[in-house]
Amino acid sequence: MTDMLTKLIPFLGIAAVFAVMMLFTMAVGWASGKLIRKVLGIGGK
Amino acid sequence: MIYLPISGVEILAWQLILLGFTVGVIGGFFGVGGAFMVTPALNVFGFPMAYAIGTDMAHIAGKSIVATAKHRKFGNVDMRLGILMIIGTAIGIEIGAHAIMFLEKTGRVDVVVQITYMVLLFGLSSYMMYEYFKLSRGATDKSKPVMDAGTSGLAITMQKIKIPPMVHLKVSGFYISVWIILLVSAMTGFVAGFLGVGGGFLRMPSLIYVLGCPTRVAVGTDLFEIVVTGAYGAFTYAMKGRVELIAACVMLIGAAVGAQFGTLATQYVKGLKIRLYFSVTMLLAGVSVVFKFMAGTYKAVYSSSLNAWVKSNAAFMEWAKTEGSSIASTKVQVRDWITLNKAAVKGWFAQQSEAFQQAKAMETMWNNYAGYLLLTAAAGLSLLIIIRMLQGVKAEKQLNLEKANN
Repeated sequence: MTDMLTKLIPFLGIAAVFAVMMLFTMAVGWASGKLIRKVLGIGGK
Repeated sequence: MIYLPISGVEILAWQLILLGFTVGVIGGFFGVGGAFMVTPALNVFGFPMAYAIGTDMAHIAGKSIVATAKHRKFGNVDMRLGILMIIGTAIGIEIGAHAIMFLEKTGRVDVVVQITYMVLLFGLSSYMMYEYFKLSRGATDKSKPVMDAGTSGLAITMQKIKIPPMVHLKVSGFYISVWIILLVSAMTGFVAGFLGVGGGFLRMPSLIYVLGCPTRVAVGTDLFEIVVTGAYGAFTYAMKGRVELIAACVMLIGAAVGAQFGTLATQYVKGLKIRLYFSVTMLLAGVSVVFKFMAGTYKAVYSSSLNAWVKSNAAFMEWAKTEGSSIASTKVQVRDWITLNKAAVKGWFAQQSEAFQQAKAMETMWNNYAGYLLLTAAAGLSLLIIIRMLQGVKAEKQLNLEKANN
């Protein structure tokens, strides 16, 4: 059991870090997309 | 200046953001991961190669999510095709990776891989350029504007093969046998696995010329596939401790913005023009591989002596038994140890003949040429893409204004 947990923790840790990274990227992408469209006058609402 | 704790390197944040931005524009526009540009560029910035690949993978996965989401909004992602391509690619990469491991046991494969890579890059680039000039110089019906080239003869033949099960690719706009998709993706995956690259530069033209996808759908669908393969690759490297998360996050800030520009640009630049720019990118990538090849010839002067010294080094033997024990191949163990022990390797070079030292200097010089070439190409291409997009936006506004006035 302990052995399995030792293997599982780094796996879950990396998965969590990656999930946060992806959410952060998507947020930056979404915000910049809105701004770009607004500046270019092709939408942005 | 930011300190990267895993690789122990200090790097300028703006360099990473700018690199992420330029490759984000290119990736979103061409539907490729862009590892062929980022990895040598990171290397030029002083990033050890072993960390450059893993960090690049994490950045590619993140950037592709943003670009795919945007392409999906524009109706450029064929999910059915993408999922089938992922299955075929995974099988192909696995076979390709096994083929390279088998060849490694039988002899020196580095040269074979580099030559194959060069032939593919120059071959595909020449074909796409030829096709562009043929179609844009009047081989097509002049009464119709050339928005995207027609389906190639090979794609028409492929679509005529009716081996069940057949699948209707709604977004791409044709019926095709599942086996054809699996076969084509497995073949591109095999070559990617053999070359040790992501393979976006192979899949994008295959989707267009072999299956018959419209250019924009090929770009969007390829990016969807890169999300999955990039995430898998990044995860594998992260488990081995080879991803600089801080560097990847900083690059992603630039990449997320760049991907927005690149994706938006596909809506304003003709499909045929996208193919032309793509062929130029591949041509430059091919030239960089030639530079790398030159670097390899200088490396060959000292590599066997260096490898022999590393293998007989007590510190290496200790490391190979402990930290490096998870690495199956001795060749990779030696390569990684050299990356991690730069000071010791520098000390070894200081004691060697002038010929070895000169060869090392020449190798570094050619590697830097390759990196700088791709950096310049990335900056120039992303600028060109943004300019073309702005021209397209301006033309569209003008057209809308004229329509409103009429």
